[in-house]
Amino acid sequence: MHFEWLKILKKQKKHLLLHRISKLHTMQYDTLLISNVKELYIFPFEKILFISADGNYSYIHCVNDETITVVAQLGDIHEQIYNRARNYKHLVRIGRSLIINMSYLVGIDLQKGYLALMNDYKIINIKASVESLKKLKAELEQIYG
Amino acid sequence: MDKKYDINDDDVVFIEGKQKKWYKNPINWIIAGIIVVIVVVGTLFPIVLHNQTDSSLPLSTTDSVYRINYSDPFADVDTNINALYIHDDTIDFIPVRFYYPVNANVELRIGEQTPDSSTMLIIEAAGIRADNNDIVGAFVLNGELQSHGMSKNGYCAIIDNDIFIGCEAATAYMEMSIDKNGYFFRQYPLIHNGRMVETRRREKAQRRSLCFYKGKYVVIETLSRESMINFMLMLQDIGVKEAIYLIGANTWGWYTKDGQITEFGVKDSIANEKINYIAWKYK
Repeated sequence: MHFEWLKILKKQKKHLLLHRISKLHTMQYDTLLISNVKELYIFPFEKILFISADGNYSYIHCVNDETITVVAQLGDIHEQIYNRARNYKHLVRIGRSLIINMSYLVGIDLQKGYLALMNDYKIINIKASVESLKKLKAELEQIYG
Repeated sequence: MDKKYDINDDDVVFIEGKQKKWYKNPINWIIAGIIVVIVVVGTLFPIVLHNQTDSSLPLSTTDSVYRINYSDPFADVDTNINALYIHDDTIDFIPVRFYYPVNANVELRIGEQTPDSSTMLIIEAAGIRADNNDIVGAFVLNGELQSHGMSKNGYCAIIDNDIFIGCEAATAYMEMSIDKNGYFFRQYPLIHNGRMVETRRREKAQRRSLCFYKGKYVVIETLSRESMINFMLMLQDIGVKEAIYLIGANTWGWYTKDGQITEFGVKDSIANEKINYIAWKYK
């Protein structure tokens, strides 16, 4: 009798584990995972406003106005986004030190060398090279016809 | 880090992720497999089915050959003499018999017949209605209209000893047969302008038809029970230009060859007075 219950319990645990694995399997897409010795961050792509970088550090600006500093080069983050992007394909690398979420882009100012993102009716101006902004403008004009 | 992620300050890269190759998805392989199986089964099934049906034929002979370019068995027949030529063959795996009456007088007859050697070949022609025992469709006997109506598009007219068969809802041959003391009856059309006519009849029976084949009128019958479709396909394959149905199955008739009468089919014990025949007579 005892054994029977144990068997059922084991079966249920196995089922639960499989469920979690399958959930994790779907979670691995469209999310950015930053992990080091001390901490681990999971950022769903749609929650990222933009990512700026300074050397070995990257600053992940989230839609809730929070900025998280992580020890990771932007190239590594770019690589991870490339590998994990499945359905959400709105992130754009601009120059060496910026990744923006196109869902929040509202304008480009070539004269001042700014692009503007809007989050919760708040405009955020981000500086980028004029050449890259020109290219972005051309691409967007082509996309929107 | 891969070099492709180390870009210049002026570059813009839309990070669209890896494009998953279709062959890396097992579901796509399953779908492709199912499609292949459907195509293979769809191609092979009719062939297998056809072969199975053929093996059940009671009278199939060993020389069964599928022939599209069928050569006329009566090509060398002397048309000056008054005779009946009979040729047995197997076409499209169907055992068939050809009757070719040469230089004969042709007519329609109504009522009970007794075998006589002056008749070269006699076969039941138009159908009889089950409800009132009347002839189906228009029927002209020696210039007199015996029955009227149009239920079948195929027709056979005999005017001045010439046979005309075709497929038309309204044909002037009927009036001509009345004017010229000829004969006329209606039957199912089988082949029109070298192409088989649509049919809904699916049952199997011994089939018989009056055909215009290579410039002559012949009667072709199957010696086994066949579906109408198979019979029509066979007629089309050998190059019949026009064909109408004659009552087949086990209907009674006879032919006289070299003075000897051979009866076929089963004679009804109760004769219908409207039972009608197409008959070729020796001159």
